[in-house]
Amino acid sequence: MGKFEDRLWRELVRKHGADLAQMTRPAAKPARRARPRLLAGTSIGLAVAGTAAVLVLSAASSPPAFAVSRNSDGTYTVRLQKLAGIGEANAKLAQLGIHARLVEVTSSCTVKTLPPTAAEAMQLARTVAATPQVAIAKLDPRKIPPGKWQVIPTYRVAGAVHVESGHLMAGAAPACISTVVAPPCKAHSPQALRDLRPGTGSPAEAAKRAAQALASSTTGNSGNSGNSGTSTSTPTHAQVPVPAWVVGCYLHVPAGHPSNTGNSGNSGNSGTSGNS
Amino acid sequence: MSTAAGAKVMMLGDSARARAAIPGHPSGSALAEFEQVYRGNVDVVTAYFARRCAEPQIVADLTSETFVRAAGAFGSFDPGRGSARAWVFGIAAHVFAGHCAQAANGRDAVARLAQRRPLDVDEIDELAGKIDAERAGRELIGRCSQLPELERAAVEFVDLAGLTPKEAATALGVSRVVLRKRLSRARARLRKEHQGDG
Repeated sequence: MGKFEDRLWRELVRKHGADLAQMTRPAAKPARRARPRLLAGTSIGLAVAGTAAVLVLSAASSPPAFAVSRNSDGTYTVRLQKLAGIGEANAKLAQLGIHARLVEVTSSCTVKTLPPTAAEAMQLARTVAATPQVAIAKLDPRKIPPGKWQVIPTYRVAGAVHVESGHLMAGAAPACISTVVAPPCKAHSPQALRDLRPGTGSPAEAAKRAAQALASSTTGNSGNSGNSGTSTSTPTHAQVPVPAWVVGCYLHVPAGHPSNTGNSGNSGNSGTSGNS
Repeated sequence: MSTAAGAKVMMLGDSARARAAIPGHPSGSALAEFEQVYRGNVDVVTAYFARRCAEPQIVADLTSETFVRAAGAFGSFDPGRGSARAWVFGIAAHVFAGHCAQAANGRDAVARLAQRRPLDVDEIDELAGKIDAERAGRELIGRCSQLPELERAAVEFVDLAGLTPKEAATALGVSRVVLRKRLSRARARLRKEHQGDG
């Protein structure tokens, strides 16, 4: 090879070497197999990837429960046929260093609530007949900010697995997602709650307002962290000490502030915060 | 006329050096596989573009773009559906088609896509030599200009680039039967034209 080809190879290795080194390619097949049917689901998050290549199959001898593949545009496609494949799919995502996780939606979960759009899709999915289906989620790791996780609600309805469009959350991905629908996300400062005039600013503005209110607050915490329905449904100042506020459907309590609910973002407080 | 034969020779010393330069680069990894694809085809792809363009920088850009795309899409390459050469030539054909379309619109797509890297003097000399070596091929392509596109591509891929009819059919996205028919028809036309000229 000449100098041009050698230099080009070095550049290719520099730019794509890491991706290629991590890539696991399927073994060569002797003949072309029939294309598997990917039936589009009714869920919002279902998307068909154009140039996906299967990188990982969960088992060679049985139908694959999942597949994680990298697309030519740098995005990844996760295919899931069985809920049992969630763990392995997440393990593969972890191995690839992608901050995204499939999280099963269960009625018994109390950790995190289901986003309203996912709840609607889940309801819609109940109305369709059960069909053999591969649920497909497409995600772009470059769009996941550092320190955040893309959580992809995953559930089984009418005999078929569904995945929803993921949403970002700080901290760590939850172990499960509750079927309880999260409340509308509005920021309420303590003062606004006292005045029964809920603020509608951005979470950052709400956080700032709440921090100011908290700093100026001289009242003690009654132990009720403010995320119960009584906070807004009962307009008495005594019941609204609330050094807490609702941001992005989660209840955040400032670090170090005494609270007996421990609801630091994953308390699954939907339906009880009463801020809708 | 073609440099295909030379391209099939693997330079194992270079390959080993390249692997050694990448920490944790096992011989069975996708990177090692891609390296084989690259080293086995870079010469013929360069020659393919050298027959199409007389400007070293454009040949370099198009070759770079082809392998950049190949590296990005290597996960989708299925050897069961065709050889690596057919796959790479399919990409090269798309790259060249895109280049022509963009050039027709007055835009330099390659410079945008491949983030053009200026060549040094040695590389320009090297590519100029390849362009010169493909002069006869360029003349044949010129004679094929009156042929339908698929026939022209069939002649180029099989008779100039050295692909097998099966590989050419895969690269062009047609069946082998169609490829053979078009190739036969194109050769007959060229022969007839040549006899007419004589």
